[in-house]
Amino acid sequence: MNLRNLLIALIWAGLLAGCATAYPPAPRPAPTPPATPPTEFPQDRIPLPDALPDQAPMPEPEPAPTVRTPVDAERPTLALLRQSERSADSGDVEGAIAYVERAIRLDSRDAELWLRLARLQLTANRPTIAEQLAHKAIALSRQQRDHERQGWLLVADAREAQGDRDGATQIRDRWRTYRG
Amino acid sequence: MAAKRGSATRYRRGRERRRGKPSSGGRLLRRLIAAVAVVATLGVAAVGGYLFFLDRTITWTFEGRRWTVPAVIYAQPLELYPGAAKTLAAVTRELERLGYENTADVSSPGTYKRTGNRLEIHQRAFRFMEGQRESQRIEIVFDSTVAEVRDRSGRPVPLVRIEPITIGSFFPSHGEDRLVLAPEQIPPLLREALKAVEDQNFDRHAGFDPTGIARAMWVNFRAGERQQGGSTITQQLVKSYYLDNRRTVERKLRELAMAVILDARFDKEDILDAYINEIYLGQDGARAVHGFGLGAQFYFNRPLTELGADEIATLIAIIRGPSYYNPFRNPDRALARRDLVLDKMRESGLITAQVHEQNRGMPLKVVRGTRIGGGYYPAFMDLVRQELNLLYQDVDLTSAGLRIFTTLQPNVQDAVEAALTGTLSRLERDRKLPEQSLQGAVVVTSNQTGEVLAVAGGRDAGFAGFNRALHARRPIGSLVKPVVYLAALEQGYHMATLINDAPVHLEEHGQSWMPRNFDRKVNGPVPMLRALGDSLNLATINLGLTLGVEQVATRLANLTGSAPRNRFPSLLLGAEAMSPLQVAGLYGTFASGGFYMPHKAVIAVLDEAGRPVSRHSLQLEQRIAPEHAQAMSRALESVMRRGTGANSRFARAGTAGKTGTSDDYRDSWFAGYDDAHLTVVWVGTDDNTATGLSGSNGAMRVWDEIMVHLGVQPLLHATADNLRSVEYESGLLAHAGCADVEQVYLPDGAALRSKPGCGINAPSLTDRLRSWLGRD
Repeated sequence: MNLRNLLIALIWAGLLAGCATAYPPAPRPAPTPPATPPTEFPQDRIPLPDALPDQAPMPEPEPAPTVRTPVDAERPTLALLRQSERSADSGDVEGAIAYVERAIRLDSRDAELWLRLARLQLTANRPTIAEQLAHKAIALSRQQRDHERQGWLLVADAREAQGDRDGATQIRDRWRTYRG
Repeated sequence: MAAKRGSATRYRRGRERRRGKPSSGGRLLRRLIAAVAVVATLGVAAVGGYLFFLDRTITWTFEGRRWTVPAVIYAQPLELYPGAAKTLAAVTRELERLGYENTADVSSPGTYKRTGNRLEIHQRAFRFMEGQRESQRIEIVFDSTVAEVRDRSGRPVPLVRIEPITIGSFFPSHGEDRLVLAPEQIPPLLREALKAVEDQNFDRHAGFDPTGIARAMWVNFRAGERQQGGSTITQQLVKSYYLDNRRTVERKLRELAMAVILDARFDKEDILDAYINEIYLGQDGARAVHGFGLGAQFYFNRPLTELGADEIATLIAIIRGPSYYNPFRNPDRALARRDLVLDKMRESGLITAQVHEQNRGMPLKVVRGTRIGGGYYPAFMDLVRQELNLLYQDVDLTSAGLRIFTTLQPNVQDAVEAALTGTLSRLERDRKLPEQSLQGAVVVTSNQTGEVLAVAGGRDAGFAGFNRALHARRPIGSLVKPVVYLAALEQGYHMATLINDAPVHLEEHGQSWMPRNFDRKVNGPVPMLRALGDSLNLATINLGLTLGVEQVATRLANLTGSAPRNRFPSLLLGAEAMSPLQVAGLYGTFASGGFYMPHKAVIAVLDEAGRPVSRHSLQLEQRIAPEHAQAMSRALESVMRRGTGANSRFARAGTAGKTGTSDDYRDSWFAGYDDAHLTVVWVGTDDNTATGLSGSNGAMRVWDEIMVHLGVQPLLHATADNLRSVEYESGLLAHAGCADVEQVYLPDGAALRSKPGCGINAPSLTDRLRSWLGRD
């Protein structure tokens, strides 16, 4: 619509119009940032398929820096852990956390899942949360000494990240030599 | 000053002499022209100013309103995988709730087919937290649970999700709700049919249409009734945006002016899209249904894109008078007008003669009683709002188009609502209480994550009134006792330690107070296990006084996150008011093995583009040492097996719990858990009168009913070396095969007497035989 037409329209409307009583609505305020500092999230997240068919191209997991407990291939939590790994490998730690949390909702007593979550929170630089999650994994390890050991070593890493080097050393000294 | 005045007068006279004296007619004419000029200038300025004002108003509002999308809130999606404890009936129910249609073939999204124990589903596309899931076909095979999940080509898939139901939206305070459609979500048939029916010259006119007005007058005159309106789509939009319903000349003129400006300012396409998202289509209780997106959900419980020509025609028919043509209340009128719209569609060549023939006269297909978008859970929504209000301002929630994924599990919520309503009615009938006199509240959380799965704020769950689950603070009675026993464990006691169930005389607030046991008996020395199980007041208060009231209060504050107001001995018997949600926080720490978890209802918030705005990760903190948490959990299992929970139908099914009753039976409480769910139930009255219900015959019955729906998953315990069998009544070591024996953790060095008879020191049969034969 060009300016001339607009002017014509305005004049037209003016001749028809009566007096004004309406008030313009208040402008929409800009979205207020969260009260707590928001976590940074990657903006370029890749949509992932919801169904996780076996034939879907699943890249072979890269050699992981951490121990991965073998999980039964039929378990849905395995599929979610794979998705989590893919997200983490692509640098999307928050996305990886979301996948593990979804797995925990399916099987909330699986110590391995809590260990994964603790590890990811440590990667996301939240050592306090990571330490507590590691304690949760230890509590659920049910005599599985390897999980217990991994949990305590994670507690040590989290303590160190919080500045407690002595505490971390003590825990490592106790659990590093353990072979379950 | 006088000299100056004199000289000015002389100067004027001089000028008049030079110009000559003017005639009175000419002077009048000049004055008139001047006056007209002034008035005209002022008029043009006023009109110009007003037009400028109108223009700004329209531009401002239109551009703002186009993007005003309230936050939409979703429940947890249903996860299906081999072994998932979901029946075919439950999954079918979920699909129907989402508006899936049972069809012979599943060729289009939003349909399913059931064949024996198989379910074929053509899923709709949905943007989950992790990204877009396109529409897809899947097959689920059931036995008692989900047996197999396969894709379209029959290959097994480990996991698939049904899209979540929408449980609400934060809509502006004036009660309007809308489900805004992007241009590509609007069916072309709807656009063209709207023009054909509501505004035939829409593409040509300048906002208002004199020929349309004349035609409408002629049609109405011939029909003898108002069949057509003269307002253009643009005028209707203006009316909906800015104006009230008064039929005054002034309002009509302003409507015309604004329509012309709107038409001049914006593209026809944008105006039509805005109209489709804005127009009023009916009323759902307090909520006005605006826009075709929400209208499709409200009347058909399906997305607009899935509607057929007849259903689109019904929605268009409603525009003329959402009340008069309400298809629920006035189906005949609505059907007649729907057919008129179908005729118009045919005349305009929008549908074929065959489609017209097939659809004309068909039933309206509206679905009565659907909750808009799938579900309406006001009590849970309160919790979501409360949680989000800590992070966002109200205006962001109502206008930024956020997508909020929550922890609500609709099947759990449905079970809670049904159990609460049904049980309260039964209790009233059984106990001859007035109908509707009892009230209740329920909170269900996930044991290990603390996520809130369901909330009922009252017996009428669909009523958005006072939310008792969050806001009703009532004395918790014996629900506080586990805190006293936990404090004792932490000071070196164990569950077989004998404590004294003896009378006690106290002074509180200057008054004498003599607490009594529920059955008014005095039991003397009893093991802690039994004192907790039978909820013995005297034993507990003696123990608490020995430990120190302040010690118990501090422990309670640590476990709930808020300090108790009561710092007197009556705290030890639960004279402390808490809400069901707070109690869920307290018992959640026991149920999770000692980890305090702040209650959580929101998983993540995404913006309109699907980018995470915030994620609410799982958080917890160990506040009870593992050994004490395990001891407490076993003790709370004993409460169910042998104590005040023994009347539950799930008492011996591997559950833990505690009953609570406040003074004079005013409040009936129960907190119970299995391996998956923690549930807190309160039953009482709003005016705080006595109900005659204890925790076990009131609130626990509601819990029983909830667990019938959910199914019990027995508690699992870690094995431990220091577990010993003790007799519940006496606390003596006993053989595991004896009657009334419970397992308790005993710390190293704990000396315990053994029970004679079937006790562990009793000689075995072989020993006794040897002794009798004298061979020893």
